[in-house]
Amino acid sequence: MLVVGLLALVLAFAAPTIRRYAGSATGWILAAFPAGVFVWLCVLTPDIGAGEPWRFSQEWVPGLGIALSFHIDGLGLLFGMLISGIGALVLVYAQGYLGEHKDLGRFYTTLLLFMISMLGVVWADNIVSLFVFWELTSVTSYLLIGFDHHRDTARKSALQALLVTGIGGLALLAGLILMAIATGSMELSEIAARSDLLLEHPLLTPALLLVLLGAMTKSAQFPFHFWLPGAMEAPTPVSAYLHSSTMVKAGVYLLARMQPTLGDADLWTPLVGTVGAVTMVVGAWLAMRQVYLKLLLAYSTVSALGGMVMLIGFGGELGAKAAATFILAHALYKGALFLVAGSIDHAAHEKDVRKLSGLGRLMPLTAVGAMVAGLSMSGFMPLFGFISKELLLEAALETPAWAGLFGAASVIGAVGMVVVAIAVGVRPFMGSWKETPRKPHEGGPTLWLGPTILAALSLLFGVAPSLVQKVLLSPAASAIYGVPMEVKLSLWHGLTPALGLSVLAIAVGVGVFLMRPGFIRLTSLSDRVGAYGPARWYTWVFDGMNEIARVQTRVLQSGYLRAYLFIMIVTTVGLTGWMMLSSGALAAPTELTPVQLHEAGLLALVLLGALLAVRSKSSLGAVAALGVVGYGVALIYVLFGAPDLAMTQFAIETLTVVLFVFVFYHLPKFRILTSVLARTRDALVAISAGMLMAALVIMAVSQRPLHEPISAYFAEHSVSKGYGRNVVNVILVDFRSIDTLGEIVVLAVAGVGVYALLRLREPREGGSS
Amino acid sequence: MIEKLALIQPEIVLFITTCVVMVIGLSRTYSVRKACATVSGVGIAIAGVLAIFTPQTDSALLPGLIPYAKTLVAGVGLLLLLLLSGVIDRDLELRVTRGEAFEPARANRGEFYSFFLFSLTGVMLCATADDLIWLFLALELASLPTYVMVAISTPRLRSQEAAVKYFFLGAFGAATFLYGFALIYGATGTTYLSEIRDIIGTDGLGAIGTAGFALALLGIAFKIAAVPMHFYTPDVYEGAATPVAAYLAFAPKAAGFLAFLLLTSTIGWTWGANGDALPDAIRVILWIMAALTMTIGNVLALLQTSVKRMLAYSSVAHSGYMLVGIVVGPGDGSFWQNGLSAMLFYLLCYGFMNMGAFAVLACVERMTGPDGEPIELETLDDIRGLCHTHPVMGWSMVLSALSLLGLPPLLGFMGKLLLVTAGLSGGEYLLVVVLLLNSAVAAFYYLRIVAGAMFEAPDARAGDGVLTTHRGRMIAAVASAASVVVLLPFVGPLVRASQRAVALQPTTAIVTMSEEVSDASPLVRVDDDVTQDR
Repeated sequence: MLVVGLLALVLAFAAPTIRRYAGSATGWILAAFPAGVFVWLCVLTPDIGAGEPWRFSQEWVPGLGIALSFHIDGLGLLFGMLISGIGALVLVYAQGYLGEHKDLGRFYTTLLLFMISMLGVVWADNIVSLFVFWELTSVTSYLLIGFDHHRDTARKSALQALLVTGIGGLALLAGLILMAIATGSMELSEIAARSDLLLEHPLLTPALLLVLLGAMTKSAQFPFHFWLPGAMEAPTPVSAYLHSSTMVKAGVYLLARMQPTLGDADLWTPLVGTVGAVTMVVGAWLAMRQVYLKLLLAYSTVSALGGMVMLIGFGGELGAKAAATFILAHALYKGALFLVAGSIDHAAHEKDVRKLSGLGRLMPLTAVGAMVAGLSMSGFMPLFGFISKELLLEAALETPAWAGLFGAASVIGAVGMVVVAIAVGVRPFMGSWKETPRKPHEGGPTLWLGPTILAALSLLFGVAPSLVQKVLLSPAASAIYGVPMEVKLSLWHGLTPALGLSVLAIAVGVGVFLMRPGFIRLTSLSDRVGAYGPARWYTWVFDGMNEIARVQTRVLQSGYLRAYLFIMIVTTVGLTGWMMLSSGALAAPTELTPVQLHEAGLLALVLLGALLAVRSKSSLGAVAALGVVGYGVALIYVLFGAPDLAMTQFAIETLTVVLFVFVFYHLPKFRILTSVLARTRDALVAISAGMLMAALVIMAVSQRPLHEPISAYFAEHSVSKGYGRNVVNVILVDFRSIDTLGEIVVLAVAGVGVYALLRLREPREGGSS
Repeated sequence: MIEKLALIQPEIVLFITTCVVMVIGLSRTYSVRKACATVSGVGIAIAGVLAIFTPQTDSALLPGLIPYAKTLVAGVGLLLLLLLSGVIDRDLELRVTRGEAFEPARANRGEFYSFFLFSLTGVMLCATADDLIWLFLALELASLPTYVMVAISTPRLRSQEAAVKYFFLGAFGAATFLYGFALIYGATGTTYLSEIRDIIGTDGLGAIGTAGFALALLGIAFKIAAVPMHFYTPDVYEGAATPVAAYLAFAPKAAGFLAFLLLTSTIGWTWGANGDALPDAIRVILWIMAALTMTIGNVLALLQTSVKRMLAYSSVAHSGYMLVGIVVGPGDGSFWQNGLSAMLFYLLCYGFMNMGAFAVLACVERMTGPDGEPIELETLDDIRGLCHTHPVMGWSMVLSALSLLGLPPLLGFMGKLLLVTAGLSGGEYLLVVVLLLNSAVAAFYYLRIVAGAMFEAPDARAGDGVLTTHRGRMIAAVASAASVVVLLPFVGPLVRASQRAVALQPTTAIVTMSEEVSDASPLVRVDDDVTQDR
């Protein structure tokens, strides 16, 4: 498995090279990979149908439970077949569609990478593997949407899609990890087996919400649906593949995968069902108002995804069966229609459906494919789309609560489908030819093969649903339902309420289509509402973040050293002071020795020095005053019995003052650059910092008895441990021998340095004298 | 004493190398001086090998940390050394290549490389520190040379201004944590970390101890560029030559995090209501610090047009991520709960990916200096279309930026995954939410780098934008960028190593505590092998 995966990666990266040698056959050659996967899946079918998923696992980070583990059950099989099957057709189609493009090789690379990641998503069993592939599909989708990267809109849409799905992905990651924490396993199959642990866990609700958020962004559910129409900037083969039949279904897949685990949560049906229904209605509404080929299809995809999510939200046997059927039916007709839309645009250079008609005679094969797919999408009789629509309506009507609302939503969704199907699949091919920027003609087999095969399957599965119900749909529905179940499909259910609604939807849909110009004008109010919709929220968030950044930069990052120091001191003093106050640790010391007169005098001197250092107008005066402070502190050391420390302090203080004088001599005079207010503020900050330090020192001194000086230890052990009576000698060569060694080394290195520096000067002196 | 000497063998080797470099750096012959870098490299390599074979010790607080941290420092140090090639004495070398006489008195090469080695020594010493004074000296040894490195890294005034700023703020930071150390000594009467831990374990932390640790952590926050001590980061990084900025983004930060680890382990995660957190006051400070550091770093990075400033802010943000691990603590020691090992592992990931981004930036130059010498490029415009003009550099940049962003399955993602898992297991939900939101915000600016390099047309002026002539820099860039992919299969062993690195030196109090915690956790059955059997 790993080897196959690596080989696939190699193939993906070799695509540009293959293209250089194989030319126009590249698409066919590359399509061998997904075709091979498809055949392999067909071979696996009997096992999976018998309830034995195919498994593979390779440890990655053992202990944390991160592994590259995969399993293919019914759901993985269904999605795997769609991904590999449609993938093969799209690879071939891209050859015809983008044949002359100079970056076709790069396109194939990205598309193959996407295919691999998508297969990874639907087969992954480990949540980390799932997440890795999940994000990789977002990234490859980003690359594909931005394929024409010289166009600004393409780049913007690509980024928008990536940010929305990527951020949703982060929520998904958190949700999955919460589920893993609750159940103690990182494997999805294990988590499902331990779902009772999860259902009782306090983390259930956050986990559910986060996972749902991830699925909603990926599958373009309201209010995150806006990125999908933007993604239509991608070349049409990409739209057909990623944004209708595969990637956007990853969210649907995820929810289907979670149904056995989370489906029993109280929140599941109300939440997921509602999200799906709302999306279905909003998508249908927006779809009916579009005039461009791909946008019509994009919004109808949003609507269809909403329908799938709704069905999964319903759960139960009927919901699972309807969902599995809908996923298959939708992939078949929507993939075909997208490819048709691409062919039309490719042949006629026209995207506006109002200006297209009479293409049927010019592109007969495409027309047949388009019409069959369109009729399947609108739910006409012997086609597979009809069966799936019947099941959808039936499931909506049988929900335990709000059946009326869900039923109405489903009908609106169905109406939208009908309108779009007629506008894209039927109308452009009827009537007589209208002038288009280019005279259309039938493309080569690469262009018509895909749509016709997909359309033929729609017809075949409609007439003979028994072909797929046992091998494909039953295992898939069982995986969604969580318990093995049997799917039985038939074209004719008898005169049911669902059939009535289906007929109603077609009638209304045809009516809306006939009056479309008027309908669009009548409903133009919704544009104004739409202007404040989720797409605008995205802009607000985007701009708001930049505004916050601007304000923060102005306030915090001024570039002035003094401003930085100011904030640093204030926060340090504030945090420490707050801590002392809140813990009630600030207490006045109780036992103090009385202050002697000379001590008071010394302190006054130090304070005076500090004050002078701040107030002095001349720099040399300030340096001198600072020196006074330093010497005063040294005197305090003398008074309290630390003569060695005092000696050091004297030496350092003297050196500092001398250095200061040297340096300050070259600096300009002090000038007052700040206002009185600013100086008062600074003074307050300085005083509070000083007070805090003082308080801490007093507390520290009064808390514990001071410790015995180390000199006592040296004096006592000089003979016993160092065998010497001269304590200083013993310290130097024994107790602190390594220190002494270090000092000698420092001296030696310094000596070598001085010697080398002196040698550097020699030649120049020699030359000048 | 002698056991301790055995522990610091790598540092001793580095110190000897430093002395040698300092001496040959003063040579009058140009070719001898040029050997500085090579000698440094050999020294670092030997130190790294010695670090792997550090003898076992019980005297240190976190015995496992010593080999781990030093090997990491040596590894990244080698890459940094490659990256630093060509920083110092540029104009001088140009003149030599033009056939003019070499002026030994004006060259700073020896000083520069020895300061670099001194600083690395300081970082390594931080890992070995078992005593507050040692820790202070090590931290300052890691930092002080960097002030000079910034100042002499370019002949521009901007570098000197940056160095002055860096020095003043750094001095404030150092004073703060030194004061904190003094208070800790005042509260406990000892400077040995393990003794401090025992005293705190029996007597509690106390007001002075709390204040001491708070001040110490705040002061060290300067080294890791965490809020409120982060202000210098963009200004200083921008002022320094890019390779030196890369150095600043790793070495002092590693030193700071090692110090954080040691200090927080001294306090121990045995406080709070459940007995698995830091004391409230310290926890609150670190919590706020982590949240603010991530947020401010990422938000401020949004507006930048200079990639260098952007990376500076991003390095601030990454410190925030790592602080999450410290707030969470070791949990029961298992992979799932161990925030400390997650933090250490993240430090490793950060070291490589951050270096990759800086290194690519350092490789892009333009020959427009007054003497025709190369000038550093650093704006987003300058790296536009890099994938087309210089594919290797461009893709290295893309990989590094994506890894910094945390894109799965790159190394940065694995690091973040561990932090998130530990945070959620440790119950720090809000902090993890902040982390994830920040990852989302970060996407906005990292993707600007990525999209600029991959998609946009090269800048009109980029015609004269060239790659550096210094091969070392390119090797460093490619090696670091490749590591975010190449290290992926070894994540398991690396995480295990970082888990061993933070295993506490056992004392009775701690062991019983962790056993109690692990009994209550359902996750133990997944992994309970490493810390439990110690």
